[in-house]
Amino acid sequence: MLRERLRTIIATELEIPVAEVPLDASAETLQAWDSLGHMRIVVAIEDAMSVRFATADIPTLTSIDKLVAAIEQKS
Amino acid sequence: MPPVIRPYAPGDETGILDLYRVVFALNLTPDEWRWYYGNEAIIVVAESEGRIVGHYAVQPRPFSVMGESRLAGLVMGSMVAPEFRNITTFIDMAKRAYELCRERLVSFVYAFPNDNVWLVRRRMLDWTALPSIVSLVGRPSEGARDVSAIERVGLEDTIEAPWSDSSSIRAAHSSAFLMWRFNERPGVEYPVYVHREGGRVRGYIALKRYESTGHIVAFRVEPGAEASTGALLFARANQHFRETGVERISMWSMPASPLHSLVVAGMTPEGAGKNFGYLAFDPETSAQLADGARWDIAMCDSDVY
Repeated sequence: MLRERLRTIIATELEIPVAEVPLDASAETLQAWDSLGHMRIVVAIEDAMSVRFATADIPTLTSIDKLVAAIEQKS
Repeated sequence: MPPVIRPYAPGDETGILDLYRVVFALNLTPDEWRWYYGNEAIIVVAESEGRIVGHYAVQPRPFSVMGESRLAGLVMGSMVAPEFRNITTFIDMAKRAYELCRERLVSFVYAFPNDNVWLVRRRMLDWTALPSIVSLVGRPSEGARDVSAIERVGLEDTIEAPWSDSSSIRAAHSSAFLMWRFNERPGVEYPVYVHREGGRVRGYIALKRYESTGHIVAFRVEPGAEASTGALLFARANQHFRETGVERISMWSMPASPLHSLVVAGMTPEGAGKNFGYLAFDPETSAQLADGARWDIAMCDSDVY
């Protein structure tokens, strides 16, 4: 469920079809996930899920796996 | 290996100009670079294996904050080579530049960033957003007013216009600033008109043409002379644009400007506006700058016009 929501947000922010975002997507495997796209993803997740990541952690949250772990840690 | 973040050193110019070409497709000449950055700018670069791969610059600009003199900094020329593009490099350069700003007694920095950079500045670097700046546009108006008292000033003229305003936040347009901004920029012409009375400058207006658009990039008058000198200068600018075939006029005018009510009639807001905001280096200044209604920013206060 959480992965599906993240997948949808990532697709929206990177302006690509959801089908192109696997459940284990990362900046390494998705070409559209560049540094500025990453910021859009992070801010959109914060807004949609009412979470606030530590600023220092943001550059490291570059995959769905890492985002899930960070969100679960906060909930 | 991550790039090394360090202050500018003489000799970096070639690498910086190369980076401008790669990132912005802009062929900045050495003269233009010197005009922008000169000896005053605070510049931080990212270097990898002898190559400049990142650049973050702050151009100091004196401001008046509700009548108090402050040194501000316009952030400009923020760029990272595509193959080194990551948030960390950008943020590390910005933080190093802010350290240097504090050492140089810069109170705050301001900028007009694009959407992507703006997101990073607000979320990662604690910038504060102010209302976006919307251009006012209109057609050059037909005027019946006699504007023969308005003179166009030449390159050798110094404009002494030391008027302060205790209620607004605005750049201090000293005579040195006006000379640098409008007379010394390589390859760009800024027609400047003044109104003098008794040998004293009572107001000035600076113009720029881009294709068929005429920009009013600066417009200030002595306090109390808005309806007299202000109206004459504005009429002369309209006449200049009509005579030179300009189809539309564009300018920034904020409600805090004493001339806002004069120029807003007949002009229409256009577009969503430019992102605009600041980062102050102490809480007191941050609180002073937070009221967007007090800012009085003109096109010449950015690096674009």
